[in-house]
Amino acid sequence: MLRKYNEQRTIGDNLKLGVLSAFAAGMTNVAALVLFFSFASNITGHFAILASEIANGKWYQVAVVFLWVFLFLLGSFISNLFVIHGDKRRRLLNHALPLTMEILCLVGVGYYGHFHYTETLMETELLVALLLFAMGLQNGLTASISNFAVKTTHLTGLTTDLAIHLSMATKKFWREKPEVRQKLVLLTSIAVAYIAGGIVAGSITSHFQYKVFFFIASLLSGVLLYDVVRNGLSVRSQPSGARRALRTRTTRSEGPEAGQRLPIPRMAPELSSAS
Amino acid sequence: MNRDLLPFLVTGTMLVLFGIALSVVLGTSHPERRLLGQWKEVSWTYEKIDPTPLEVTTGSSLGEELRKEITKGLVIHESETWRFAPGSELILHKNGERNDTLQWKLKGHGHMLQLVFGDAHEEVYQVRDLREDEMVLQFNNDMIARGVVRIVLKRVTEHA
Repeated sequence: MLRKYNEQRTIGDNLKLGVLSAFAAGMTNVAALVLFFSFASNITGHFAILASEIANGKWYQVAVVFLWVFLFLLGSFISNLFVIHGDKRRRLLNHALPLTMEILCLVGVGYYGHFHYTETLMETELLVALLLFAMGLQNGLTASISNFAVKTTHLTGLTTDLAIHLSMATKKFWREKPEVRQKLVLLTSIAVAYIAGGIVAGSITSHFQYKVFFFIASLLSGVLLYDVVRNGLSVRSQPSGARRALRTRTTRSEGPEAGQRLPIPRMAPELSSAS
Repeated sequence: MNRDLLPFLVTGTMLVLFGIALSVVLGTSHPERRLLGQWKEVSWTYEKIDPTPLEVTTGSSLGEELRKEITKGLVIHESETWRFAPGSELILHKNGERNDTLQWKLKGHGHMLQLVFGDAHEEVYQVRDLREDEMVLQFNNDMIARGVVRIVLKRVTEHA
């Protein structure tokens, strides 16, 4: 799920990663809404609130919401930093670090919420900030290692992509392309997983309260352990063919060009839609 | 402009904004502190969303009967004065007498006021505005027709 990178990833890798992390994000978002009265994964809403609070001249709220957005951005920034600057021979370790940080954030929120939280506004703001940072880490990681195919913490771009692919499927030519069908399956699965996570969190949060974050952390630990148990922390455990492909196909990991998107063969401009 | 400078420019701007936001958070009066003190209800206004056969004009002040109907089951409808004390204690008064005591909490980014009663029953109000001398609370209502009830409170005293 985590070990492979970019073009080496199969639809199965992206599907597993997308579904599990979207489920976790959906749970986190709804749990934060129930417990802290604030969303923790969809940034678009926070941008709207930011604009609204600026218009109303509520500068304290503007500052708080800006810091939340900034922490989401910082999380994504750090994730990609690990991915593009880490030791290429230890790719799984580079990919595991942001996820480990996310798990620690979730455990931290769960622990503090369960044992120390006195429900002051300052505590609420800090815990939501930590959750947004964690979601930024997750979204940055999944998007970065999947060549922007998997984004799991919000559904705006995903819904747009889904709509585009559905409209493409109205033409037989595109409908017969396996890439289009696979993308449809991936996008639908992520959306369903996100909603399912939200429903589960909505059902159990009032009972388990802050302990729900331990459950989410356990789920993500499963993502982490899946590859570690199967392959260890080194990319050397990959089949030799895959390593060769990595050397020849990945421009992203070589020198100053790091971070550039790979020249993926495109079926049509529609497939490179905004996400 | 040199294109190499663009990422640094964006990062620099974000960091400057981060610094400003942090200083605003640390330097501005915290909403919880602003809430402390005694507040007196001055008006209840009903803004309906759905059309209804009952004549409740949009934005009209609520009559006592209608107010009782809408707030049936809510504790606050029997109070005139709210005293937010430190330690999350909210004391409601009516006719100068203590009416009820409950816990108050601000949630979200300070936009939600959660009131918790002794029996763990909760009521949640949206804080539309919180100024030195005036606070506007809002709650959704669907007793008669879907609508929003707006409660305006004026500050009576500074901290409790």
